[in-house]
Amino acid sequence: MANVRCLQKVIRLQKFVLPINVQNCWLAITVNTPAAVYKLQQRSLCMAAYSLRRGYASNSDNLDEFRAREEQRERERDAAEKQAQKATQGDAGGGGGVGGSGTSSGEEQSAKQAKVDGIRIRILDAALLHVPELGWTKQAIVQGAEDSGFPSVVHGMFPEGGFALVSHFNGKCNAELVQSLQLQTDNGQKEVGDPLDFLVQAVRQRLTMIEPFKKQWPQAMALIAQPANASTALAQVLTLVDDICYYSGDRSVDFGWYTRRIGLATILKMTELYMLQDTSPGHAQTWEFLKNRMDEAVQLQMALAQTEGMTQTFQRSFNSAFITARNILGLGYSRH
Amino acid sequence: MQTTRNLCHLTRFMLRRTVATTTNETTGSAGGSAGGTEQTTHFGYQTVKESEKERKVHEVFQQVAQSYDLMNDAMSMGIHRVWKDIFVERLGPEHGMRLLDMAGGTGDISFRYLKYLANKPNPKQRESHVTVSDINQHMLNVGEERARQLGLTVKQLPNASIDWQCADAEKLPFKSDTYTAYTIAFGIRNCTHVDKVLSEAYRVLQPGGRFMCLEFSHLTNETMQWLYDQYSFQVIPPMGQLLAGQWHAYQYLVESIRRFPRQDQFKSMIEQAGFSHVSYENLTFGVVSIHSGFKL
Repeated sequence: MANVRCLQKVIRLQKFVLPINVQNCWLAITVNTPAAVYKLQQRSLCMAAYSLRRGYASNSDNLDEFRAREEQRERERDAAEKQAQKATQGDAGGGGGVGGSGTSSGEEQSAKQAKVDGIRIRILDAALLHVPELGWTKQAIVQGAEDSGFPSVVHGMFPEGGFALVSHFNGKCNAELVQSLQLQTDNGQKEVGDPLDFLVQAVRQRLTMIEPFKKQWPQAMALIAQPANASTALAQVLTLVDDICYYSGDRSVDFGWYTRRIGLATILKMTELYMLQDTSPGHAQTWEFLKNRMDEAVQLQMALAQTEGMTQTFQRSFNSAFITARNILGLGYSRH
Repeated sequence: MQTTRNLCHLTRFMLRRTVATTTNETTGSAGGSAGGTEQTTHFGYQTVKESEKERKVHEVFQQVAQSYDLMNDAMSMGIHRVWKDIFVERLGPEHGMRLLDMAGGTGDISFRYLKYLANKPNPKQRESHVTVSDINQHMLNVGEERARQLGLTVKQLPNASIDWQCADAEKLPFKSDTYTAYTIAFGIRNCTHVDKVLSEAYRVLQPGGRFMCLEFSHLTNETMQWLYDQYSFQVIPPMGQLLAGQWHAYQYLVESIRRFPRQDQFKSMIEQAGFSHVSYENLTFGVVSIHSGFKL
C-alpha cells in the first residue's frame, strides 16, 4: 500500500522536474518494487545532471559569453541603482529631510562634499610644488594652503599630515598611468603584442613619474610603511597592479590571476627601492634590474604552474586581499 | 571636630538647597505662566526664562572664578590638562594665526597656544595673535593674573600678542572675517542660543578659518555612562561644596552636561551654521568631544 503511494508521488514529481520520457513512464506504471523505484530515481538524477550540464558547458566561447552577460547585468544593476538613488533623493528633498534639518537635501550634501574635495585637491596640488624643499610634511601642506589663498589653519583638513600628500601623489600618478594604458590598448579592447614587455613598459612609465621627487622619496616610503597608513598604501598598490594586468590583456580566471598581480606588485616595489640608490645616467641600471626580475618571475610562474597544490585556503586569502583593497579605496568592479 | 562641623554645614546646606530649588521652580513656573509669550530654556535640570539664564550663568561663574582651576583639577583628576593639550595639538597652531579663544576665561587654551608657538621655529618672523574673550569679567581677571605669573604678557612674548576682551558669544563686537581660528572650550553649553554662537563664529572667521569646540559630551558605552552619572551626581557637588563652598554651581555644571546635544546632533548644528568638513573626535570614551569645522 505504502509503496504504491510513494510511487505515485515520485511520478508526479518527475512530471514537473524532467522532460517526459516514455520509457520512464512505462517503468513507473509497470514496476512496484523498491529496487525498481530506486533505479527510476537514479535515471531521473542522470537526466537532471545532463540537462544542467548542457546549459553551462565550460568551453571558452561560452565563458566569454557568460562574462559579457554578467557585465551587461552589472551595468543594468548600476543604472537601476542610480535611478533608485535619484528617486529617493527627490523624495527626501521634497519631504524636507529628517529631524528638522530641512535645508540640506541629498544633492546639496553631495555638492558641498564635492566642493570640499575640490579644495582639498587644490591645496594638495599646490603643496606638491613645495615638497622638494620641505619634504612630505605638514609644512608643505601649510605652504600649499597659503599659495592657494587659504589661511594656514586648513592643514587641519589633513590630519594624517605628510601621508595625505604621498597618497594624493600616488593616486594622481596611478590615474595618469591608467589613462595612458587605456589609450594604448583602446580601453582594453586591443590585443597586446607581448604582454610581458607591456608590463615592463608600464612599470617603467610609473616609476619614471617619481623622478622629480627622487630625493624625498625615501621619506615617502617611510610614511607608507607606517602601520596607520599601510592599509591605504597597500590598497593603492594592489589596485594599480590590477589595472596594469587588466590592460595587458589578462582575462584569466584561474589562480594565475593572483600570482601575476602579487608578483607584479613585488617587482614594482623592488624596482622602486633599487631606483632610489641608482646613480646611472637615465636610470639604465634600474630598467635592467626590472627586466631581470620580470624574467625571474616568469620562470617562477612556470614552476608554480607545474605544481598543482594551491589549496582553496590560499585562493581565498589572496582573493580577500584584493576585495579589501578595492573596498578601502571605494572602487567598484566596473571599469567604465 | 572640623569634619563633624563640615558635615553639619553640609546637611544644613543640603536642606537649604532643596528648599531653594523648589522655590526656584515655583517662581520659574509662575513667571512662565504670567509672561506667557517668553521662551523658556534649560538651566541644568531647571526650566528658566531665556533672559534669566544668562544672569544665572553669570552668577555661577562669578562665584566659582577664584577656585575654577583648582576645582577642574579635582573633578577630572587632572585629566582636563591632557584634554586641553590634545585640543591645542589638533588645532596645530602655526605662526601668523589669529585665534579667538571664546569663553577663554582663565586662559588655559590661550596659554597652551602661545607655548606651542614659542616652541616652534619662526623663520619668517610672523606675527601671531590671540584674543581671549569671556562674558564674565571676573574670569578674565583671573586669567590676566595667571598670565602675569606665567610671564606671558605682551612685553615678554616675541612675535605674539594677547588681548583680553569681555564679550557675549552671541553678539561678538569683532568685525567679520578677522580671525583664522575660533576655539571654545567647555563654554558653549552655558550659552542660551547655541545656534547664534555658531553663526557668530562663522561671521568672524576668515574664509578657510577653523571652528573648534571642546565640550563635555555623551559616552558611547551605556555602562560607562551610568558610572559617569554616579560620579557626576554623587561626588562632584559635595566636592564643590568642600573645596569651593559652592554646591549648586557644580550641580548646575553636571546637569548642563546632560542637557547638551549628542555628538551627531551638535555636528549637524555646526553644519547648519554653514561650516563644511565637520567632524568630531571623542576623548576618554566620549566624556569630552572635539568638534571641528571649516568655513570653506
